Amino acid sequence: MFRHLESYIRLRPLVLNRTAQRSLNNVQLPFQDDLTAADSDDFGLSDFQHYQESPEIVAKRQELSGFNPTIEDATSNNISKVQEEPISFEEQTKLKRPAIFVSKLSNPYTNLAIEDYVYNNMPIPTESGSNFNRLMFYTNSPCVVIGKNQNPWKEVNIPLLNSLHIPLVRRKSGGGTVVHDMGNVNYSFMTTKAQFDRFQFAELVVEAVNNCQESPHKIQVNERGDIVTVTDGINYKISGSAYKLSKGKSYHHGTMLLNLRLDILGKLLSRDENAIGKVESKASIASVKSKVTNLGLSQLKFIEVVSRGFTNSFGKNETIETHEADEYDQNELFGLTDFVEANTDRSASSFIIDETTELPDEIIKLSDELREWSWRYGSSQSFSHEITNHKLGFTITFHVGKHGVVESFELQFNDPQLLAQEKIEESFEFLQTFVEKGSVHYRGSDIAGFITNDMISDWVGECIDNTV
Amino acid sequence: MFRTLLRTSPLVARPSARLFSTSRAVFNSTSHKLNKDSHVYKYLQEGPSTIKYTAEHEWLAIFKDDSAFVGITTYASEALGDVTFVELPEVGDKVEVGDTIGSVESVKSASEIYSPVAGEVVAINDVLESEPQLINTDPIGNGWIAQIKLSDPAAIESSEELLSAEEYENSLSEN
Repeated sequence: MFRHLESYIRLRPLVLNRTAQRSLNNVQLPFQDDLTAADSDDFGLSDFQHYQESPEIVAKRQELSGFNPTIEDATSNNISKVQEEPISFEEQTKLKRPAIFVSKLSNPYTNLAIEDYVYNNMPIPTESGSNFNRLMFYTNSPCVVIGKNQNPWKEVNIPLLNSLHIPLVRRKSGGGTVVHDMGNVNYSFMTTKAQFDRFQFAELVVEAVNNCQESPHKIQVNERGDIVTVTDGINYKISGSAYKLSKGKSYHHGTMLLNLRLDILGKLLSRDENAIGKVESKASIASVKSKVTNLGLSQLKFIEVVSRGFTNSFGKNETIETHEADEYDQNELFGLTDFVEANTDRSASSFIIDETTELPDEIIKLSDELREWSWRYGSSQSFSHEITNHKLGFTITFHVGKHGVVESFELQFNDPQLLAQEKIEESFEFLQTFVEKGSVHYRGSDIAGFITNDMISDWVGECIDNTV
Repeated sequence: MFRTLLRTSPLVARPSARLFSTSRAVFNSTSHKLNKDSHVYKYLQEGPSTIKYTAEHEWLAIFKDDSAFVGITTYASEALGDVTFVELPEVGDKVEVGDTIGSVESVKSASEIYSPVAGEVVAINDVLESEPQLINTDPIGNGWIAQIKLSDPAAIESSEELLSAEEYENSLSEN
């Protein structure tokens, strides 16, 4: 592994110079097609041939007006080659070889649905030694993602979340709550159940990042499988992991904080119990709070180095196929044989998902399911929520059962002399009737609608989820 | 099956295959027999009529009244590590062979549990909601997950997917 990377670095300028020459002088070299094919296959760059630059990157590159040695430059001449054999997203998900997916979409429900779809459709190899592993990258617009078995009211400042119009998302893997924004990249490594390993992919990410000279931090894996960086003896988490195991398959996905708004993260995950109440839930997974920091690497670079790590570890050995396709041995022709043998015999098919990608209907269905209140909130285990109105001097405790249905509530008056007690009790009578029917879901707007005193109803709605 | 689920700390070098084969010896010595002191065994006075296992590491204790208790094996429980949450099915759920009947969360992993038989869920072990660690302390016994009334009791004997204790233990040492 190390040897491969070293030789990669050593030989890389060679290809870049050649590309530079072409792009700067616009010289049509003889055998240009052959040369570009060699660039892609021999340097293990085929993973990136579908990669498209974001507008910012293009602008930046134009601003620098000249040669900028990025992977895209090295592979941009291959686009025509790729277009000869277009492959649909669905076909890509069924490929019986390792494959990388990069989603350029930012809707969190869509991305999780794509991840689920890729996972569900990953074929399981029958012979040992071969792998159809998948690696997916996606970045979500700001959202808070809770673990499968968590209680959102307990983990997240739901009123603040809703006032900022940030979506709450429940994923299908275990673990705790994380905050996503455009400064975060999620990676998802999928393999068989037999190959499941909590640490393997985190270690691959660590090695890939630590070998990248541009990375501002050295990182390591901690005992929980999270990726941390140590500064002044303090562990700062930069990546959280979660896992899912199902029939014959498993995945390990994680967040990678590159340039996240950490101030907002802190606010969304802290609850002032005095103001928005205390949530008790015996049967749910509690998040482990950690100090966090950003890695500070660019998204493009992170995706590039981790993809390369994946390809080096799991890519399919393609030496024979490459040679068959060639009319003559280009490696020998360009004196690259050593390099090829050391590095480029492995490849993984890659696919970029963007607005133009036709997604199967199933993904739309999956993302709609993930959006349902019944999944995001309603699938929490039984819990109670105790909120105190300091102004009026009373406390209300809601008991919420399965499917997010309110089972009961009770009022407690902190001052026995309180004159308004009767009036307050009265304003909850209508709610009581409907709770007894078992038809009230624990949504602020639903509950508030049944409370007949406007001031109290607004306050309850705000404490539950700020929907009044 | 779960190659290195047992790893509790990251390794610098990764001799995972060897690591796992040593731990497998431990599995072979563990019993996959039903705990005779458990509620499951005592469900009917004479005990269960048959005990079966699956390749997905579930066990099945079948009783004369054509109901079966389902849970996960000692191997699976040890491989998963400390169980922190158990998701149970609901009484009245109709299940087919291979349907998800719940999940177990341990160390940030959500693992699906599949029904090895078809039928209707007639009881769930809701003690697991407050004591999920029963899956670790007594997986083949008080850590049972659900009781299923079999819709086709005859299918048990003809099923190729249901293994005897001996076949199951052999499958563990083969891998």
